[in-house]
Amino acid sequence: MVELEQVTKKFGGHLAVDQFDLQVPEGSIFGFIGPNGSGKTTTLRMILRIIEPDSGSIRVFGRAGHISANNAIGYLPEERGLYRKMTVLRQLVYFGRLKGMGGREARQAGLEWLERLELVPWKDKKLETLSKGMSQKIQFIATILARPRLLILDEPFSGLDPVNLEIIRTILLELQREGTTLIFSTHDMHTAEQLCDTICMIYKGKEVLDGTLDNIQATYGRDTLRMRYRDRTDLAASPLEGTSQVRNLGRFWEMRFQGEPHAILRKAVQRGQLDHFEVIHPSLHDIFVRIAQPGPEVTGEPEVEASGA
Amino acid sequence: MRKVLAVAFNEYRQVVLTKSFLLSLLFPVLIYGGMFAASIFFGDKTDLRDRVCVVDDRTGQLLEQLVEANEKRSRGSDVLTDGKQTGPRFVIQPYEGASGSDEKEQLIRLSDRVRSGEIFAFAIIGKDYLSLDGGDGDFIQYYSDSPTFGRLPDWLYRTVRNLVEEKRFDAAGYDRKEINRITSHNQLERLSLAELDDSGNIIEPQEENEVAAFLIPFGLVMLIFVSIQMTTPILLNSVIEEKMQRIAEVLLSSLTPFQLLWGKLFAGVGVGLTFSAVYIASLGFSLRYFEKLQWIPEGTFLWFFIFLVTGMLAFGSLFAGVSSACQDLRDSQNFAGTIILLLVAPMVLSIVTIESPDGPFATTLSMIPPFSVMAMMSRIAIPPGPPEWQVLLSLGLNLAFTALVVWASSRIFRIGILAQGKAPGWRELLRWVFRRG
Repeated sequence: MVELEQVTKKFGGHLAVDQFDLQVPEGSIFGFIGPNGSGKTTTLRMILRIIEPDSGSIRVFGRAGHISANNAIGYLPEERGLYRKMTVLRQLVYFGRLKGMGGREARQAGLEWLERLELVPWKDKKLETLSKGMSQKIQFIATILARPRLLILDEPFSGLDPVNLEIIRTILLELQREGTTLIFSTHDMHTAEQLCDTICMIYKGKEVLDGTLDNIQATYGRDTLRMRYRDRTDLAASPLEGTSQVRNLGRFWEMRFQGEPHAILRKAVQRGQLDHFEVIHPSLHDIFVRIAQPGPEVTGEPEVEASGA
Repeated sequence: MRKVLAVAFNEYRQVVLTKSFLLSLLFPVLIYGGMFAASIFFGDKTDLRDRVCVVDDRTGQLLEQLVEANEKRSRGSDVLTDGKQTGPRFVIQPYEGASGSDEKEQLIRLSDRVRSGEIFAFAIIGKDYLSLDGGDGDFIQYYSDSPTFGRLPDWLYRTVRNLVEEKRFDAAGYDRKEINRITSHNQLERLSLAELDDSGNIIEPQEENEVAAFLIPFGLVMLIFVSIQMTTPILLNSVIEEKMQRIAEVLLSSLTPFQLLWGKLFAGVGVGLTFSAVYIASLGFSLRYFEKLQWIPEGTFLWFFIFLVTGMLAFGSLFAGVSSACQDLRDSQNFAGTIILLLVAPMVLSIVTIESPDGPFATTLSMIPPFSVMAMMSRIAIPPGPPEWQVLLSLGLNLAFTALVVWASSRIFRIGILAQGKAPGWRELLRWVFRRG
């Protein structure tokens, strides 16, 4: 569906994307993750032909492509953009026409989506009179109006309440079932874990992770412990021997470990009333943090990291 | 092309459906429509009230003849047309008070009569007004509180002057009639050149109107200025809005920067043409109604629209290009000021080109884009107009300049529309034009 080969892009002296390879399988939900400034948006813009790479090749739908291919691509940028003074339906018709739809067809499709998202009463209202959540949904409709074969979504759920988030998620899964390929660019690792078949992480313009979630986690092995104490045992103040990067997640403690887990279990039981002890794969969040903010490897000196999550 | 038209249609609609634009279109309709309505409904309903004027003739020799002259006027074409009254009558009343006794009191009393509406005006002819040697009383004064009504004082002065001259000739022993015969002459008539039509017949030269000869080219130049001036800032605002509201990225995922720019330019040209077409149609209709269409040289309106389009494309793309590099309206002011200067200069200079349309200055200016748009337009609108080869050369140079500006602006636009951060200067913009990729 989308193939990038040795793609490089520089802005002045800054290397934004460096010999980057990417393959998005058709019909998949593809997670494209990476910290801020890692080259995600630049890569997405190159896929959309908004900007051209300095070198390397980009193929979309099997074609080395021209922007005309974009009629079949829906793009929801992270920074939402709609005309504040334009009415909702007119706005949808306009964006539909820019995707090659006829005026009547775009209007019909717009009305159907507005009905589905319960926005029909606002169809003739100017965007500036709508709430932020409603505007988000209008932007989402504008993105999927032309039934794109490829949908590129940059932080699609940010700013949505749980109800609307669920509606959008359902629609996205429906679109995928109908054959649409989805590329998610997100910082929300939880969403990426839940939704994405395949994940690629870009860091400082280079690919640092690529594969299914299971494959990625398998690469990192089972090096993480998750524990829960009934009492107020504090592992941060005095970490268990053989553990590092101890994080308080609220109900749970999470930490990396080295060595034999049974030895750590014995010590953990001695500390307090242990209810839960589990050896797990590192979460995508952990992997993301390890890559984007690499800490020291596990040594005899444990390291503590607090988290309010 | 469909996408370009979609952008153009959307932007055009957004502008022309605003109240301010519709009002700007209504303006000429109201002005010209009002003129027609006035001429139709009030054409034979001018103010026909009698104008009573008290005259204090201190010479004691003019009043009687003045009254006679007024009676003659009342029977003439100044007042009657086909036996029907079409102009106001004057009523000359002698001043009945003690003349010259207390001038201040006389003035107050007569002024009060004017204020109360009893009389329209009063005049005082000084006692020495007939004298060849002058003196304290060598004056004629007219008092009224209707300074815009010129017919009565004009007639009064003309008539008294004729009477005085007649009396002076008589006193000197000259035959007034003979002198009039010798010195009589007609006014100079200003006419256009004679021409032959297709059948070889002479086309009657047309009477020239000096005011129209200036106002029409100047009006057309002003209309080009206003059309460009009101269209191009719309492009600037729309580009800035799309950048500030982050719409540009969404748009550019559907069409190229070049398509987006052309869509905007088409919309801008459409708005400018709509605006100017309403004004030109109103002007043409009015001139036709008043049978003065001959004041406009043939082909003027066609050239007007051709030159207007080239001007709007050049200035529009320039505005769109530089505004794409700006983050907000304040940033864009620096650039807009310079561009507007390029627009104002030829408008101001058009006064010179209209005065001497075939002089070296006007000819040179009409060949230098972007000044040539207005300079050539002013030359075309003044009969007999410039040679055809000059018009075509000017148009060719304009088209080449427009193509160059649109190309350079599109190069700036493709980078600027996605650029964030500090707005670049002119030098940086120039670098963008030649940047590869």
